[in-house]
Amino acid sequence: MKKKIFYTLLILSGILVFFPIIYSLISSFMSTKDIISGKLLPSEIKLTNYKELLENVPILQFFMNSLITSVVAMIIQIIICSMTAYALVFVEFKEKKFIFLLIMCSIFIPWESIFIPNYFTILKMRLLNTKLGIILPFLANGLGIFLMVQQFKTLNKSLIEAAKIDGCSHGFIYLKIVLPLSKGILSTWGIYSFLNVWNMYLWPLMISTRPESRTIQIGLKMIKAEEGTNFGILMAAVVIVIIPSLIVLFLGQSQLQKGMTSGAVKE
Amino acid sequence: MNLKKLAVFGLGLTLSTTLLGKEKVVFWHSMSGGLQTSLNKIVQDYNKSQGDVEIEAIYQGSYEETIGKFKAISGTKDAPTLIQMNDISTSFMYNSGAITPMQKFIEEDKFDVNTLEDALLNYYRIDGKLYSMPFNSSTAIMIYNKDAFREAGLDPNTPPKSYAEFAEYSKKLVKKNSNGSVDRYGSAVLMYGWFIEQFLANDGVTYVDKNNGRTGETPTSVTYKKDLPKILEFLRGMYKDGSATSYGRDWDSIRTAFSSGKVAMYFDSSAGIKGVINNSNFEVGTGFVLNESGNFNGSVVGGASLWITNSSADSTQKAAWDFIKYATSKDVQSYWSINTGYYPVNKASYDTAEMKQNMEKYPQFGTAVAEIKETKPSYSTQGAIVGVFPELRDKMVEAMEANYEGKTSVSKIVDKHVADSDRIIQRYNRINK
Repeated sequence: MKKKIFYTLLILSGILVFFPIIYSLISSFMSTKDIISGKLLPSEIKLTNYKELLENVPILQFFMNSLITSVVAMIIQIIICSMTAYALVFVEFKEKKFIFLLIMCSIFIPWESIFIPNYFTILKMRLLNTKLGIILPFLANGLGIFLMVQQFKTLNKSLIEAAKIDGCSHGFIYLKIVLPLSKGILSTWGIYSFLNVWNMYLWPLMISTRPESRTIQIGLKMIKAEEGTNFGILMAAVVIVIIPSLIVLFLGQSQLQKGMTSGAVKE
Repeated sequence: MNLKKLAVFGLGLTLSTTLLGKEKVVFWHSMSGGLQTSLNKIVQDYNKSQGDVEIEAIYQGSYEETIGKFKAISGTKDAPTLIQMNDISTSFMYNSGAITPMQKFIEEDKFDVNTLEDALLNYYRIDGKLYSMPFNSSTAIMIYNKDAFREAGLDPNTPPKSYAEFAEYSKKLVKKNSNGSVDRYGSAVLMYGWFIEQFLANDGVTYVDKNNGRTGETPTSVTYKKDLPKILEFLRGMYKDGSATSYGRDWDSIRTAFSSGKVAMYFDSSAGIKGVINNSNFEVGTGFVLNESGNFNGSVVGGASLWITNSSADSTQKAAWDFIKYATSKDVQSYWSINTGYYPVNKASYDTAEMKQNMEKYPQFGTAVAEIKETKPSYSTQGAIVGVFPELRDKMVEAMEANYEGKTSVSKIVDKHVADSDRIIQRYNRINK
């Protein structure tokens, strides 16, 4: 009985939280007139919004661009952050603390304040209108390194020492022992960095002046018009945009929950 | 293998274009949504109509975002040849040193500018010279719900003309349901400085000194300190008696509220009217912008114009000029007007059959045109030329919002607003001496 009440409540709050997404999906089949008059269900299900979207905006190209930049940025970020963290935890070298502090400092610099210098760097490197230009400033992240350092510190020291005594190289320990034991933080950081790059608007807009390197968030803005937005088409685009985010979240959810808590606790 | 093929194909394509000597013109614009579709059609038609020039139209975000990009990139090979920029950036573009004056092409080509709408020439001319070519033009209009007018016992064919009248109508149009909450507000004004500018111009007041910056001298202060209070008082009166409300700064919100019957009167750009008519389940009426006396003095044109930059070769600039001539020709402008709601910049467009048919179907389109025709030329209706206009507009929005909140007295709001605005103008003048 208790369980029943519990689940009814869960389902209800689930619907409540999920409502904006459900409503976007429903309204992506409705005409703007239907949406404005406040209807909850379309008078008839039509795919015209999707058709018009594909005809007017190169949304599939933007989609692929976004997917490529986000996935590449995610993978490189995981590699760079975890390797740095490994070195900071398991390798002994001089000025280790100082370097760690320096990396920590980068977390406290707001992105907006280095936006323009970054832009000119990319401009001088002749990387405007390239996907590399879009992801280059996002390939390393202080917060990611910090979280991974905290996670690696929780690993059992004796395990690593035993591996060293057995003659394992750093590469072997990193790949076969440390990474498999830190799946939680790796996937958490993966999701976070993927969503971060996926949702960027201003930076890709500045870097790309041509459709070949544009990301999907700019496509969304192209649909929103001063002279009156066609909400049906906008919602169709929104549905397309959130699909990858949902898939990534869905795949990594269980790891995400572990990762959220694991880095915070130190033995 | 595939990649190789593609490379060969790409090479062939570049070769063929260079061999044929096609001039490629990159055109940056800020037309999104349905506007973009219509603009792309114009560009495609132009590219098909001749073999020498190929225009590539690329959306670059809002006008503000585009100008930011242009500032950073002008002078490099990535800079566009043709760029669309909004009305209030005219002064910035004019001073940027990055453009070739339109007048040069007009003179070289002996192009007759008298085919263009006088009010637009008035607006975009600085010191008698045209630096850019008006392309998409709109002005402010009042939009109202005719069915609601009938319901409230008002004549649906005579919209209010003065502030006092508007407030009176607004009060009559409020509809409350049985438990006292408001079903329909009488009116709303978007939190956007442009509308206040329109009211002031219609009152015959200039926005800044030095003849609205129109005679070559740099303005040093705003000039509406005496006249702004009565506009704010008029708005505050309506907020106080509950007949008017605000939907914030977003155009979509106020339009949606109107189309769903939540508010009976509001002000909009004439470029938005087509969507509003199509989305509303009632008869939509249009009227002129207001002023104190009720005798229409004039409205300021808005919209954007096309600029040719000096970053590309002369031949490319000429090619861009050729496209501009096409884009402002009477048939293209009537197509553009019918499909967007901007009014044609070419006077002859009104004589085309399509345009006449459209005016019959949507008589509301005529209001903006009538406003422009009836505008009495003067410095005030010509609109201000001032380098920091976007910032001044932001300050005006702050004043409008403070006025809506109603916590500070109107005189205090105006004092602070005028002081802030003057400071911004003077700071800009100091930097750009």
